[in-house]
This record gives sequence, C-alpha cells and structure tokens, in this order.
Amino acid sequence: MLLFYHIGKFILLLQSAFGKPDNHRILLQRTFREMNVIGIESLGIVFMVSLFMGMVLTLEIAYQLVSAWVPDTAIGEIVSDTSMLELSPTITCLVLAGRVGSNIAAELGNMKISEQIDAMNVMGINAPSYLIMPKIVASIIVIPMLIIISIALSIVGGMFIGHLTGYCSAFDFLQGAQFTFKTFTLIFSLIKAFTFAFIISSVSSYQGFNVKGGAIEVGRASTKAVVHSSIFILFFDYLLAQLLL
Amino acid sequence: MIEVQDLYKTFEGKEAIKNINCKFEDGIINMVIGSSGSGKTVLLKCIVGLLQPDKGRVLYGGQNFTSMNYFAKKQLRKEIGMLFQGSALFNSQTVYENIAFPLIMHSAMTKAEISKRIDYCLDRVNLDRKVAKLFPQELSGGMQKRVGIARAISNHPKYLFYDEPNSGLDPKTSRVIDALIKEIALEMKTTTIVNSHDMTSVFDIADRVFFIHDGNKWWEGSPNEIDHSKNTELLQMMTAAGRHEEKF
Repeated sequence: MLLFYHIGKFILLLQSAFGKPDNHRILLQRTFREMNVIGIESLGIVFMVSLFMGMVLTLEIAYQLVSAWVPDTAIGEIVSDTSMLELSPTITCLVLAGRVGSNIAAELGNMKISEQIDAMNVMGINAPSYLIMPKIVASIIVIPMLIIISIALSIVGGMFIGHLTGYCSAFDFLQGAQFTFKTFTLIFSLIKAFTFAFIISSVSSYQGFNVKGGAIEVGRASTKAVVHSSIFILFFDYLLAQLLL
Repeated sequence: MIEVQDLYKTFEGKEAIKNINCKFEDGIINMVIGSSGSGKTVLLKCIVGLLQPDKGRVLYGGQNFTSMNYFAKKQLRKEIGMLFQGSALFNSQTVYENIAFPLIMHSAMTKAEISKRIDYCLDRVNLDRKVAKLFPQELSGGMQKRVGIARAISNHPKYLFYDEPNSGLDPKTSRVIDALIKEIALEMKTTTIVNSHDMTSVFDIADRVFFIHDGNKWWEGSPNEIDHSKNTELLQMMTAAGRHEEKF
C-alpha cells in the first residue's frame, strides 16, 4: 500500500511540476542555471570516471584476450561497444546520481524545512514548477551530452593505455572501434541516458520535496535519493536491454 | 475582512484545532496568542491555505477560500503577504532578488519600476539600500525579519500575516519589529493577523486578541479587557509573562 501511496504522490508532484509555469522567462533562466550546475559542474567527475573506466576495461580485456589467435583490433571493438552499451551510460549515471541527486534532494529538503517552499505557495507560485521542472528539463538535456563525452573519453582512455602498454596500437584500437560501430548502439545509449536523467532528477526532487522534520531528515532524504535513483537506474538498465536489444 | 467558520484540523487522530470561529477585521492588528502547541500556527496555516482544514471554511472578503479551485486561490494569494517564523528568505538569492521575487513572478513591472519598489520597501522597513546586495545568511536575525516584511509588502498585499515575528529576537529588536508591524498596518490598511506568544507585543500593538488554548478559541477581546477576563489559562499566560498579578 505504501508503494502505491508514493507512486501516486510522485505522479501528482510531476503533474504540478509540468503544470503551466508562472513566468516562462524565469523558467528558461532557471533551466540554464541548472544546466550549468548539473552539466558543467559534473564535467570533472565524468572526465575522471570515463577515462579510468576505458583504461581499466582495456587492461582487463587485454588480460583475458591477448593471444596470437585474437586480432589486435578486438580490444578496440569490445571497449567501444561496452562503453556505449553499458559502462558509460550506467556507471556515469550512477556517479551522477550521487553527485547531482544528493545535491537536488539536499537543496529542496533545506528549502522545505526552512519554509521557503511554503513561502512560495503563500505567494501563489507553483513551487514544483518553479523548482523541479528546470531541474528535470536541464538533466534531460545535459546528461545525454555528458554520456556522449563519457563514451568518447572512455575510448580515448582505452586507446591511450592500450598503446602505452603495448597490447594494441592506437591505429588497431580505433580500427576495431570503427569496425563494429552501429548507429543503433549509440541511440540505445542515448535512450538510456534520457531515461536515467529523468530518474535521477525526478526521484531526487521527490525525496527533497517531501522532507519533514529537520537537518537529519534532509541527510536521510539525500541518501534515499541516491539509493532509490541507483536502484531505478539498474532496474531500467535491465528493462531497456530486455526490450530494445 | 477574514472570517473563520467552524474550523477543524486533525493530525493522525489528534485534533490540532477544533471549532474555531473568528472574524479578523480590516485595518487593525488582530493578534492570535497562545502557548507553544496551542494550535495557533495550524490555524494560520489553514487560513493561508498551507493546510487544508478537515471541516469548516475560511472567507476572504466573503469569498470562500477553502472551496476555491487552484486558479482562484492563486489569484487571491497574489494579495497575501506573509512573514514566516524563520523569515523563510530564499538563501540562494540576494536581498534584492528576495524582495523582487513576487514582483517578477506576478507583475508586469519593468526593471526600473521593480528597483524603485524595492528601494521603497527597504526604506519602509528601515534598512540601508546597500543591504540589497547581500545574501540572507549575511544578515542578523532582526535584519532578516525586516527583509521578510519588505518581501511581504512588496506586492501591495491586502492581507498580511506574521507567524511569531519576534521569535529568536532580543527584546529591543522585538519592539522595533512590533513598531514596524503597527506602522505598516496603519499605513497600508491591510487585514493583519499576527501569531505570537509575546505578551509585551499584545499590549504594544494588538487591537484585537484571540486566545487559543488546546486547539480551541478560549477568549476574544481587546488587550485592555484581558485583565478583567475570567479565563484562568489566559491569566496564567499573563502571569508567566509578568504582565499580571496572580489572583487565583
């Protein structure tokens, strides 16, 4: 019963969030601001995670596959496909759930307990639309961009370490990556990115918006935002793979 | 005028307010008093629509606010200003942006007009215009309350609400805030409701007093009538505040 209660409440919150905005110009400004917070400020961590992900993947594949019977292009093929299909969208979004999700939940939770959201309601402002819609829209725009950057960096990292360790040349690595490239793989990756972006922003907003109590509850809401977003990301990761591949 | 009729609100089976009937007149300061947990904040939240009452209704100038649809409520709320207990200033925005917020969201004023209005509001609450550039966390508690009042009056409200305006303030600053509330009510002719447990404020600024105890309205009258009231709970509150000699 509690699950249905939360699902219903979540849907009602989204309905309010996507209701008619009070001021379109302000909404646009806030969306750009959120794109900066969610996208630009996450570039550093996405850069680090993706680069190391590609490097580790290359070393592990080389450890398992390098032999006289396997072509040198195999590492590039596997690293690029795995990065696009699974690692970049899923791992990056799990990391973003920690960075962006906890930030959203803490920000909204703090506003809730300090009556800032009540103040908006008293002024006749649709608080979910003002606060949540820009976060969801910004996430849906910038997270897929981050995923594309992550895929590129992961391939670059893999190519760099493959060349450095002598497992495969940069040329072989790139040839392998190009050889197996399918447009659908990238589309699938972007579908995942859009879905995960929506999950991170909406689930975290829901947790933050429904905080009751004080600072401890805000901390709990942040933790819940990360945990719930991660679980939903993994569940939809499976569901999308099952449905689309 | 704001009228409250047969208002009930329950939380998990416990009645927070029950059968409250009040008439809050225009142009005077209506003060709702009571000890902590008496139900006065719940009453105020029901009046401004932050809580939906279980039973009863709230009338703003004869219009039933409780049964209004979302858009009608939204329209009416543009005429409401409220100072929250903790000021509830947006801490990611400067003082200027805080005061400008209702104007930007609801009015078609130009930037110059908004600036002029903000200057007026800051002057009205006796704050230096330089404060406009600061963030709320850079201000003292008293200054935050004044910015909260400036934001509440920026959109020319017809109805003004203050929830515990003196909480967390020293006695001297409390009197300054009280004086400000009185001046604004007289100047703007708003319907003003102040929630407080500060008996000094009651005698300084209230025109009409509503005493809430245990979720019920126990007494109503002018501050001068309190001493002659037969209400034990109210007289005990007065004694605790040092405003009354114990006679019971």
